[in-house]
Amino acid sequence: MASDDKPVADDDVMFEGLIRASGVPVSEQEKQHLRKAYSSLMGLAARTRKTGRSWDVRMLPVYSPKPPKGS
Amino acid sequence: MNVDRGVPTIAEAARQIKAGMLSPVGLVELCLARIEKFEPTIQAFHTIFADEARAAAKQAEKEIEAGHYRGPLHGIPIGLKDVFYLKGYKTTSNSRVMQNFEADEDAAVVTKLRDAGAIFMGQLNTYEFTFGGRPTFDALYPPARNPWDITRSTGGSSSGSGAAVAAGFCLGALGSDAGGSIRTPSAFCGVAGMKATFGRVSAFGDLPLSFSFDCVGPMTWTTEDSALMLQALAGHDERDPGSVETPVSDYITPLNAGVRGLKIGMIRHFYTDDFEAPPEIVKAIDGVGNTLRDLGATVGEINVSPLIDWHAVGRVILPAEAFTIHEENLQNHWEDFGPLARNRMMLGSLVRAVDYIQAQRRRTELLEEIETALTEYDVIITTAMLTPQPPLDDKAPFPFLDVPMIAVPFNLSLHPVQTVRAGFFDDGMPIGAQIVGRNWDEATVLTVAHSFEKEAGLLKRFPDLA
Repeated sequence: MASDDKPVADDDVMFEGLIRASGVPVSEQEKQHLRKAYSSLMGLAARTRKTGRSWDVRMLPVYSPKPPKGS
Repeated sequence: MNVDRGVPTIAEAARQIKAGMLSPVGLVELCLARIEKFEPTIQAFHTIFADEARAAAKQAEKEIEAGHYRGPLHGIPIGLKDVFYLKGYKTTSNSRVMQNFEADEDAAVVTKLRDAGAIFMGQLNTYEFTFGGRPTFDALYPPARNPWDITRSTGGSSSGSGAAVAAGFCLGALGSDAGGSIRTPSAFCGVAGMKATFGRVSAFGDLPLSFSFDCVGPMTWTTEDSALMLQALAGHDERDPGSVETPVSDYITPLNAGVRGLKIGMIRHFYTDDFEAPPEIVKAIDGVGNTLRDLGATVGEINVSPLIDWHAVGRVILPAEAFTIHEENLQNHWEDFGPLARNRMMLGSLVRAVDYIQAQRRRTELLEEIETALTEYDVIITTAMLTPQPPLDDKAPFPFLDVPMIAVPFNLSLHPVQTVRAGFFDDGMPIGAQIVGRNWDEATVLTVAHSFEKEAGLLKRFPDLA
């Protein structure tokens, strides 16, 4: 595929799809506010990514198995 | 008795109750009189337990007179944020969605306080479902007002807890914190508040907002009082999957050990470069470091990633987890939510799995920065607020997307934090600082905070409710 054919994420399509997929009956007016907030949110989400981050960087475990009693 | 706030501190009251110089009945009546006079303005409570508190005070008095003194919380009036299960009462989290919810058992922290002999004065206000940002005007109850200036925000979400302690409606209160919900109202209302190490205090029976951030802790007038409450609250609980089985230290004895020889690291760039806080905040927080240096600590400066990076991680994880928790109610009871809370939660539906996991991985990296700093320093100090208390009626739906969250770094990193009063704005509103310690070392955090409070003498100013 030529580089200028590389697919680009379409935020409008994504936003509409995610709102619909949520199953929550959001009003049109609230959707407008959320669309603006979505752009800010995705800007923040981009900041959490890091080029070349090691695969060893994992999520924190919230639930961890407890050691067996008596060990 | 210190009557400047209208009520004594927990420590003062406990000494007098133990010595037979103060009656729990009289103390409860003192609080109820203040509630009767000022609560119509402050709106700190959802429910007031006047009759129950009087009965419990009589019971406490009987027990103490009979020689069965349980300890420093016996007979002490305490308020409960309305997010904790309380058998026989509704727990609403200030939401119409929960207005008929009644748990069939007490939250772990409620049981602990009950066993310690505390007297419950009522259930305290919160932002709807504890989602911070700005007060929710469209929820089940109207917002609490800041006793220092009723036109200004208390901060949240433990808004009623901050207001009630500052107003002297109770001597201490329970709060919960997933992104600053103990520390922000503590700072805005000029009181002390402790977010302990994640897993230190059981969150069983605390209506959740975030699986990986939620902490429960005390809000009080002084750090000494926070230590007294934390001593009763801390401990392992198998019913909370995040609770960790590790020894609980003595928080009281070392309070007066002083700070000589300790190493204090200031994170100044959070409030000077990453966000340009008003000069009063810069002066007050820098002043905490200067005071501790005068007391014999070594004070240095720490550089970590910019505040916006911490904020970004918090802003992706928190709504995603909140939406996960409330998904079913949002789908089926949309109209019962206040628009502010439901739209804040809806942001979480827009976070994809990959966004959430990348944020959690970034969290791991950021956490390491604090861990590394705490190998060199005993505690870290930074501000607990970046702006003055905003007007109460600021109804911007997503303010938290614009102003970085100054409390969230230590939710991400799990470390214990005490908020203390650090100074005042020119208009008399209080300024708060965060003192952060190593995991499970709440004792050192409390010692440093107590040393600062005693030396700075800032707790001698009180809100004027008259």
